[in-house]
Amino acid sequence: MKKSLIIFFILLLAAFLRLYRIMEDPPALYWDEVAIGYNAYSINQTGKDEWGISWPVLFRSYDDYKPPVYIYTVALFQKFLGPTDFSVRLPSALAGILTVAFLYFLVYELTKRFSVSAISALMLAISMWHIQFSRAGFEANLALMFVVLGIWMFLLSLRVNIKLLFLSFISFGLSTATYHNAKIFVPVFLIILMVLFYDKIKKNLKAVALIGLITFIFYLPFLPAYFSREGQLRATAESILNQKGNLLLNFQQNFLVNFSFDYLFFHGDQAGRHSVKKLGELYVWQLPFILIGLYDLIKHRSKLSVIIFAWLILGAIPAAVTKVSPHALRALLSVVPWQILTAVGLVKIPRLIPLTVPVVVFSLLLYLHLYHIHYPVAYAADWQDGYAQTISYLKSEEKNYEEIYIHDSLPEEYLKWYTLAKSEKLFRRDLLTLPIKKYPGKKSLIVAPPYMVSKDIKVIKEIKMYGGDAVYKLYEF
Amino acid sequence: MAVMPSINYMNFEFTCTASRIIMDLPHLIWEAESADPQGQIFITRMFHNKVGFLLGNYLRCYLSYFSPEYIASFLTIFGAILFFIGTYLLILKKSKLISVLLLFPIPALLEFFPFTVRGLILLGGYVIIIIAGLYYLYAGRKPKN
Repeated sequence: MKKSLIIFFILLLAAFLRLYRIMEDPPALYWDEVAIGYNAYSINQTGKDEWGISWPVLFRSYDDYKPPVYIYTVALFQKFLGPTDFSVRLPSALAGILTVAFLYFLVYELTKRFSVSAISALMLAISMWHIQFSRAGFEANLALMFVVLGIWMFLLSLRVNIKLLFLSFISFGLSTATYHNAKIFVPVFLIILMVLFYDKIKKNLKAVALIGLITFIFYLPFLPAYFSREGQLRATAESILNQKGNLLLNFQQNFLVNFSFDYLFFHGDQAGRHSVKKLGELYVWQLPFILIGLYDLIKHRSKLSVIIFAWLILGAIPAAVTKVSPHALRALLSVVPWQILTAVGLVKIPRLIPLTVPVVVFSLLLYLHLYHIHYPVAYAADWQDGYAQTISYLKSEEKNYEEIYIHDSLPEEYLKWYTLAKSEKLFRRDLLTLPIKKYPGKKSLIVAPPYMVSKDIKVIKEIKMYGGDAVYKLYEF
Repeated sequence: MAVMPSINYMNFEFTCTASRIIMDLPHLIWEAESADPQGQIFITRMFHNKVGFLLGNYLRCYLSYFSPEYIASFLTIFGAILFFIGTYLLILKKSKLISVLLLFPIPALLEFFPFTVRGLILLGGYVIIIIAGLYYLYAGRKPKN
């Protein structure tokens, strides 16, 4: 009773941290979110994606061929919420909250200790790394949920009923169809799990083989997508093979950088959407407990140690085989083992727990302060803030102008998502030269970014993003 | 319309020297306080203050000498692996060399010694840990019958 109350409060905290002001911070939908939203809307309306392909297993989108599961999930949510911005973000936030719950059960299955599992769940609930990706429509976050669920179901099936293994395999399969990093992580990790628990699997070898076969047949329609040129396009474009220099040294560097203290504890991923940049991916106070946890897991080697180390190493591989590393999004799967390590370390020295509480509270408040006050001001541009405002302004002013020329830095998906694409007055141009009017006597509008200037025409309005910088200037001519 | 040349933003690349650690403070404080809402002095002072930034900078630099990718660039990947094995064994055997492990990066932080001496002390620290680790590995091995 008391235990379930504690878990309930941890989930409540997780939900608060992930849902509080979710539409305001981060300030706007960035372009992948908009593409996801529009494709889901299109699927709901016509059964086709924006390129007119019906029920695709790969969404072409911006020619980056997005994996399908997140888009279909959003489509499901849009049945109830309508095509709103909120419908794009809610699945990721809910996946974040569920991951916390699943992690509790997963660690409980592994250790049979309430303290370790509850603290692991709490650590994930307040983890900066996880909150950052739960608060926007990142596919990787849903993939993480499926991976955690898959591992939990795997362990549960060995203890309770082997039939649950089916759920585990389905979950692992869905994760690979949700984000690219799971395609590298899941097959290897599954083999490690199989080897690790071979003594139990051996007893049910027939059932396991049958379940594997059924899952395989279930996934047959997806398989061509994994091996097609389009499916691998993203991997080949971002591959480490395109990086200059020695391949092995590059790999070593890209891999080790994921474990750099500077990256993990002090400045985080420097891409604007991936962290608040001023703090790391993990809290600094986690470091001593992580070290204690590592020491303990090496000293008392168990199945937990193998799982944690395999998870840490495999989680970093998707970031290591690409050009940009460290990359918090591609290495998102490794957010979990760090939290388990912290929990193992904390439980090892229970005397320190009361001492840690004020530090934890302070650092969480500092993170919330940075996230809700500083972050939307400083990095609004990374979230394409201002595009939606521009479009809603154009919608209201459209009737006063004969032609509207928009700079092509505003992606077409935004026009489609915010329902302006069908307007016949609208033209996307590079605007390097002034467009020639069709109706010389009448008023026209030009929407250009602030770094483009012209002496001949006058600015009538500036669209500003959250921090106050101009996104677009509107010229009348 | 003409495209204006893009502005070259200042590059605040951070390097770990004592002067840099201290020089960085005004910039950090300015950056933090200028974004804070007006009139909430208490919150601003609580979250952004000199002590916090200074401690953070020193800790960041001190820990960077234990960071896997730094050691791998200093001693190659094999050196890094040996260093972490050594660290583990020193703690496992509760060796007195743990003090060396904790203290050896400090001269590198303080700029008290000239550049080359600091590098040598750093290298010496790594080598001591590695050799101690190798010794424990050898000593812990059971003799064959």
